Amino acid sequence: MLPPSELVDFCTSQYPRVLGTIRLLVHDERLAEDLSQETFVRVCRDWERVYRLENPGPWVNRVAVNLALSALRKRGSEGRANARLGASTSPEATTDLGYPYEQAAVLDALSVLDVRLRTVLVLRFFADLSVGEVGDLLGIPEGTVKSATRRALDVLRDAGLIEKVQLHD
Amino acid sequence: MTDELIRLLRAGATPSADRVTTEDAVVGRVNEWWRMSRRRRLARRAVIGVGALVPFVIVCALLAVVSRPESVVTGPATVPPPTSSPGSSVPGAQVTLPINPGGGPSLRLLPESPRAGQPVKLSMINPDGVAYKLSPLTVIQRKAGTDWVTVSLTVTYTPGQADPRGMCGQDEPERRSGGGGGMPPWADRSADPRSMSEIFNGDAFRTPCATGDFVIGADTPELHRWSTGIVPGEHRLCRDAAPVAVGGADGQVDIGRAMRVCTQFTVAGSSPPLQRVDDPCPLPGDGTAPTALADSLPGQGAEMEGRPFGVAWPGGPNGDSALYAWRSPPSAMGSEAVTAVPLFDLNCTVRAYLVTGAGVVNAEDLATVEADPAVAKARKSFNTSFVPFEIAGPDADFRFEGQGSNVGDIIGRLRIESKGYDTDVVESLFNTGGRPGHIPTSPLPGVQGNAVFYGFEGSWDEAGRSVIPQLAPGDEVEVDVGANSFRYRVTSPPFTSGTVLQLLGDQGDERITLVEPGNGVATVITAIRVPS
Repeated sequence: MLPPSELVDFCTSQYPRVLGTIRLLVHDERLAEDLSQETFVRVCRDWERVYRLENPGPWVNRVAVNLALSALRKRGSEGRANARLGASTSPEATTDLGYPYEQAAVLDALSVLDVRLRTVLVLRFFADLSVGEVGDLLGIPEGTVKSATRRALDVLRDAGLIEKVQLHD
Repeated sequence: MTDELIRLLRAGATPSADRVTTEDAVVGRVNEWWRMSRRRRLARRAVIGVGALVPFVIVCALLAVVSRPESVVTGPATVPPPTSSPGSSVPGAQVTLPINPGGGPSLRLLPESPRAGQPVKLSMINPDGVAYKLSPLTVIQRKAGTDWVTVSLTVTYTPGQADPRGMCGQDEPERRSGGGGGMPPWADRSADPRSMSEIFNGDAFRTPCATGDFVIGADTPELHRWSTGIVPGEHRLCRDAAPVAVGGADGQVDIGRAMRVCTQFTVAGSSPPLQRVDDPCPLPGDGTAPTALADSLPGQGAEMEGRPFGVAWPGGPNGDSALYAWRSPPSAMGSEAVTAVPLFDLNCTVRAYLVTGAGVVNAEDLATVEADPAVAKARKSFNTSFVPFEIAGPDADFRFEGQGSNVGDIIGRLRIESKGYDTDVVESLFNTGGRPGHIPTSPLPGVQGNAVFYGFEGSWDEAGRSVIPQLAPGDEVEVDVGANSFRYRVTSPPFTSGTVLQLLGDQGDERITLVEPGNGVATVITAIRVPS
């Protein structure tokens, strides 16, 4: 049984954005693909319900962001455990994967940020969500979204990362 | 800068070159995702289906537990062999017997007389009139859904001994106080060590004053005749066992007809408590024997005018307390474990009933002694108080001494405000005038122990309904005794039980138990003292 054409259209239109969002959040391309797949399997599983939504985009965003944050939490606890055991499981070294330098610099810059600031930044400027939508998705007030955005930009600027990135552009 | 940031983010999100992210590739992935999601949906439905079955399974399990007769105990298929030489009884042996699901047959002992050390085979034989009959002393129940019943037997057995003292043919045995020559061998251990052999139901034996073999279980009043020599030592008493039936596949299967069963017990102490029973038969008529009998009983108390007569006797057959009641075989209320053993004089006249076990005796049965002028006359000669017995049982730490109040006095009030119930409480079990009675053998409220209040039909009624079944955990019961008032809080819902006696003892706290005996079972509520 083939998927409904509406589902195929929806997935193909959403996939790049979802994959990119997750990737920026988790800083791990393979994990991002796995999480994207999980997101869209859930979309397929619940398609009858998702299809009836007036705007399924936020639903998919919520699933994707929740999966990404869960993965980050899990990786955080795993990392702490491994650190205690002396192993190294830091996120993949971007430069080792042959990323273009600029891309690696962006991911490195984002990885400096606190997870919450990074999420706000990615949702606002990559997923192109409004302040209100980000607040809804993360369950925080709009004011908090705005202040987090400012702080994220400040951190990046203070660390010279934005300039650095721009310098190498 | 924002535009630049957006551009950089997009650059950062760009898949690496080796990742295929064309639209066609995504469409292919959607097909895969669709298949995976279908598998998950099926798995989830299966989990939900199994989950939906769980309550059903739990309900079925509960029903199975509830429908199971509570006192069924499966045990070995044979009676445990007597542990010592011919002499030890097998009290309370648990025997598991098959019954015929086809219905009709009786459960009986095999005709073979068991020997000491042999297991007793119990099986089902046809009801062909053979005198070997199973006579359960306590309860026979059929376990639901199986072909097994459990029988608790206390039996005694004399292997192959018939008239060991050669007394058969004598018209009357010697009357000798304290047993001896006049006693049949099984009535007095000291007279003949062999008398301690056990007699199993269905065994043949002879009595000294009758010819031919008797079978325990047949109508043999001689058995009782010889059971009156109650002196310190080992004794057996016999009783009429009630007909017992268990459910069969086609309804009720008659297990055995009423018959007599002998039990063995020990009378402790140096003072022969019933020795005067062996005096020349005074009854009927002059009433001297009851006086003598009662005078000789320990634990006696002043009989109250207009109350049933009986004397509690610590040290009964099972080492527990017992009650002697006159002339009327009391029926048990609220417990199947109460037995009334008739005590005969040498003329085979019932002199009294020895009430043993744990339970409550029907007050009306005891009260019938009133109708007997001889007994009534005898009763008037007592100046000690009769403690209206109730409960005797090894698990019920009951004493038969009063607690300082006179039987029949109003000792206080009992209130259940939430039910609008408010009444006087009488220190008595019987004849309480429609009020609940505080069982004199239980402690009064306000001290550690279990103050038990009994109320027969109507005693607990408020607006025509008994309040006992209406009580729920949290309800409070208030008892006034003298100037003191004690509050108790109900801890568990009321329940009915045929064997409430274990609950009536001291539980290590301050509590009251309200009991309303009903049709074969009692409704019980327990409340714990609330600190005031």
